[in-house]
Amino acid sequence: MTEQTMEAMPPDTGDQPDREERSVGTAYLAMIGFPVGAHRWYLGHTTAGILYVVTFVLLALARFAFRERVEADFAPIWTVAVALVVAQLILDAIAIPRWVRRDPEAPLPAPLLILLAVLATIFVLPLLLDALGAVFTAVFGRDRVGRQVAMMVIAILGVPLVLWGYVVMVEHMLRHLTEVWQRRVRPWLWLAPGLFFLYTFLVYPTYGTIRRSLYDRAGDTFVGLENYEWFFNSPNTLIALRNNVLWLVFFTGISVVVGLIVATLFDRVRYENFAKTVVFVPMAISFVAASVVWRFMYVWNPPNANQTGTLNAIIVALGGEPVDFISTRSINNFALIMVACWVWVGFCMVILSAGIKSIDRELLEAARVDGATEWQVFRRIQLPLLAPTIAVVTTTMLIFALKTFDIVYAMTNGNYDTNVIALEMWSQFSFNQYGRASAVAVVLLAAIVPVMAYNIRQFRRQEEVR
Amino acid sequence: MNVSKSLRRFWRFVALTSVLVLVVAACGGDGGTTTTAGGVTTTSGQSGTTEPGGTDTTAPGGGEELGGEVTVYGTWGGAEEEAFRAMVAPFEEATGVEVQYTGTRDINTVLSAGVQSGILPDLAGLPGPGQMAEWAQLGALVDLSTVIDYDTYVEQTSPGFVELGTVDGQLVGVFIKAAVKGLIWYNPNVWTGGDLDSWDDVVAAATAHEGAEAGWCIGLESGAASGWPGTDWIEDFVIRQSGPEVYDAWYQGQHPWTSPEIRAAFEAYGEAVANSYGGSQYAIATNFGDAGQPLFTDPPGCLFHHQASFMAGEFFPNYPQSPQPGEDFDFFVMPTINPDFQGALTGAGDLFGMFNDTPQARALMQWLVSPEAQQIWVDRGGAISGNNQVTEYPDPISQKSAEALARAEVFRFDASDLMPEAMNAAFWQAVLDYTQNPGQLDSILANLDQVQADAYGG
Repeated sequence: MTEQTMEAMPPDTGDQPDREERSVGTAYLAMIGFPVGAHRWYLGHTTAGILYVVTFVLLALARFAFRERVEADFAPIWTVAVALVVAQLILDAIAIPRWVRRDPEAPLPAPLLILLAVLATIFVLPLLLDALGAVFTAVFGRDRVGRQVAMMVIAILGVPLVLWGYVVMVEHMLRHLTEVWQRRVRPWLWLAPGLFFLYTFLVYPTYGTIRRSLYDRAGDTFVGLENYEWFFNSPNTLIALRNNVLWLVFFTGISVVVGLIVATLFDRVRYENFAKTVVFVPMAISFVAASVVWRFMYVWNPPNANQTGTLNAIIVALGGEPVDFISTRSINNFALIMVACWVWVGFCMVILSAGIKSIDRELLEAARVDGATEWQVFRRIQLPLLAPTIAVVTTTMLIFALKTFDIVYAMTNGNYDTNVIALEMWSQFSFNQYGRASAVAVVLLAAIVPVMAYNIRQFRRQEEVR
Repeated sequence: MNVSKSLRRFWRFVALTSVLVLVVAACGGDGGTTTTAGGVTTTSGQSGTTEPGGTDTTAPGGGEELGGEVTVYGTWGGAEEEAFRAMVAPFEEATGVEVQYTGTRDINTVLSAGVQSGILPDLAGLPGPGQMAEWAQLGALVDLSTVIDYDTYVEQTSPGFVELGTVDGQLVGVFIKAAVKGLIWYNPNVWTGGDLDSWDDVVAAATAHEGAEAGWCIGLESGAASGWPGTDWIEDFVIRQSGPEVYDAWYQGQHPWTSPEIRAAFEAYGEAVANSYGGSQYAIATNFGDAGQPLFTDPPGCLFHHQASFMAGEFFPNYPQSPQPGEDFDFFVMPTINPDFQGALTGAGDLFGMFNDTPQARALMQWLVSPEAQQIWVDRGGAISGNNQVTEYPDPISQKSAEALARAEVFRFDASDLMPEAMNAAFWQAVLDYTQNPGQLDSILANLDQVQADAYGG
C-alpha cells in the first residue's frame, strides 16, 4: 500500500484494498434496484416499491456500515440481487400488465410480497450475520466464537424460515392453476429443494467422479480405462483388494455371529440390559479413538523390557514371546479387524436382539412343550424367523467392511500390507492423482451398490412382514 | 372455465415458476455467503505497489497500526505452536493485526484441497519444496520478492535456502526455521570418546558398543508418516557416499533406486539396523521421539542415536530421565564418508508461503523473516534460525547445531521432502519393508523404480 492511499483513507479503519471495489459494486446494485423499485411504485404497487427501494438502500448502507468486516463474501448476494432484478423485470413484462389492466387499484399480489420477504431474508441474512458477529465480537473480544455462534443462530432460524417462505409461496402460486394441474405439479414443487440438494450433493459428484476417472492426472486428457487398468495391475491396490476381502469375510462374519450369540444368550438372562449396555458402549467411541485405544493394547516392547501393551503383557505373563500385532504380516489385518468388530458388535447385537424380541414367545413355548431342546428351538424356530434381520445386519456390515478407512489410516496407514481400497483412494488423492483416486472411488461404488440394493430390498420386505 | 382465464392462469404460473427457478438457482450459488477467513478475498487494487518496508524491521510491520487479521495454517502444535505464538505476539501488539493460527497435521491435504477450491489461509507453512513448486506453477502462491525486501533476505539467508524457495525465478517460499539432519547423539557418560570425525571410527565404536547393549537406537514409527527417520539415514549415506550430484539426480527422479549408489546407502542403513537396540522389531514399533531413551537407561541400551537437531528441543528434555544438554546428551555431525564430498550436510526447514496478498499478510511476512522475530523462537531452544543474523543461541547444543549449519560446505534439503508425494510415501514404506525384511532389498528397490517412473510424470 503506497503512502498516498494510506493518507487518502481514514487512518483507523484498517482498510482492505478491495473494499472500495466492493462498495462500488453495491452502489451499482442500488442504482439498478432503485429504478426497478421506483417503476413498481409508479405502477401503483406502493408497498412493493417502498420495500424494494428500502431493501436496496439498506443493503447499500449496511455494506458501508460493516465494511470493516470483509470476511463475509458479498458476491453471492449480488447474484441473488441480480436474479431478483431479472425476476422483477420478467414479472413486469408478463404478469403485472395483465393484473394492472384488470384492476389497477389492486394491492400487491400476495405471492410477490412473500417472494420479497424471502428474498429480503436472503439479503439480510449475511448482513445480520455480520451485525451479530460484530456484537458478539464486542461482547467476547476478538474471537471467532462470536461469529460462529451468530452463524449458528442464523442457520437455526434462517433455514426453516426460508423453507417456510418457499412452501407458502409455492401454495400461492398453485392457486393460479386448475385442480388437475395442481395435483400434477404440487409434488414436484414440494420436492424441488430436496431434488436440488440431491442433485448437487449426490448425482453431480457421482457423475463428476465417473467422468474424472476417465481422464489423466491433470484432468485434461481423456485416457479411457487406463486408470482402471492401473487399479487392477498395481501390487498395492491388489493387496488392498485382498485385504478388503478379508474385511468382508472376517469383519462381517465375526461381528454378526458374535452379535447373534450375544443377543440370543442375553435374551435369556435377568441382567440383560446391563450386559447389552456393556457390549454396546464401544459404539459411542469414534473409529480413530478406538484405534488409539487399541494401539496401546497392541504395544510391543522388546522381550526383556516391561510390556506396556495390555495384550503382550498377558502373553508374556503366560510365558510367551511378545508379538508385534501391527507389523507382523500374518496377523496384523486380523488385529485391525478385531478393533472394528469391538466397535460394531454392539450394533449387530441391538438390531438382532430387537428381531429376537419380535418373535412370538408362544411359538417357542409350543416347541418346548413338544419336547424340543434349546438348540432345536434356536436352530429350527428362532434362526429361520430371524433370517431377514440377519440379512439386513449382514449387508450393513458388508458395506462398512467395503468402506473401511479410519482404523487402517490411524493404526498403520496401510503399511505392512494392511492397505484397503478406501485408504488407497485417499492416498491417490494426496498424491494429486485425481484420475486414479476417482477410479478407485468408482470401483468402490460399483462394489457397494449391489449390496446396498439388496440391503434396501431386504429391509423393505422386512418392513412389509411387520 | 373459459379459455382466456385458464390461459391467464397458465401465464401466471409460468411467470411465477420462472421466478422460483431463478431464486433457487441464485440460492444455489449462495452456499458461501459466510466463507471462512481469507476465503476468496483476492485483491487487485494493490498490483504494482511494492512495499518499500522491510528495511526498518525493528518495529514489527514498520510500526503502522493496521488492524484486521491474518490467517495462518501450519503444522506446529504443542511447544512449537507456543513458540510461534510468542514469535507473532510483538507483531500483533505493534500493528493491531490479529494472527489467526490453525495447526494441522494434515497440512498437505488441507492446502491441496484449498488450492483446488480457492479457500486458503493468507499465509501457510508449506509441506515441502516439491509440493510448493506444484502450487507455485498453478499460480496459487504470491511472489514474495514483492512482499519482503528481497536483497536483505538474500543477504541474510544461505543461498541453498533461497534457491529452494524459488520456482521459475519467483521467490514463493521463505525459511523461518531450520533443522540440521544427520546428527549423531550420544550420552557423554556412556560414550566417552567425544566427537568422532571419521565414519570408520563411528562404525568401529558402534560395532564394539562398549558399555551399551547395542550400537544404535532407531525408531521409525511416526503415525501416518512412519518410516521417515529411516529415509533420513539413507539420504545422509547417499550424500556422503556418492555426493550432491547423485543426490540431486536421485530426488529429481533421474537416478534409479536400483543403482549401486542407492543400494549401498540402503545396505549401510541395514547394517545399523542389524546393530541396533531391540533389532528391527524395536525400530518398527518405536516412535521416533522415544527412540533415544535407551541412551539414558541403566544399563544403557545403545551408544548412538541418529536424528535431527530438533531432538534437543522437544524430545530429550521430556524423557523420564530428564537429561541435560551438554551433560547427558551431546552430538557430533555424521562424519564425511567419501573424502571427495567433504563437509556435506542435509537439513530441513519450515517453508512459509503466501496465498492471499493482503496488507496484514504482507506485514506479517516481513516480520517473520526478520532476525528479531526468529530470535524469539530460537530463544525458546531447539530451533535453528534460517536467518544468519541470528547468532545467539540459548544453550551450547543449539549453538553447535547452528554452527554446523553455517559451516556446511555442501548443504542439501531432505531429499524425501523434495520428491513428489507419491515417491515420498513409497520411500517411507520401503524403509519399513526393508527394516523388516532386509533380504527383499531387490524387490523393494525395483518397486521404487516403478513408482519413480510413474510419480514424476507431472
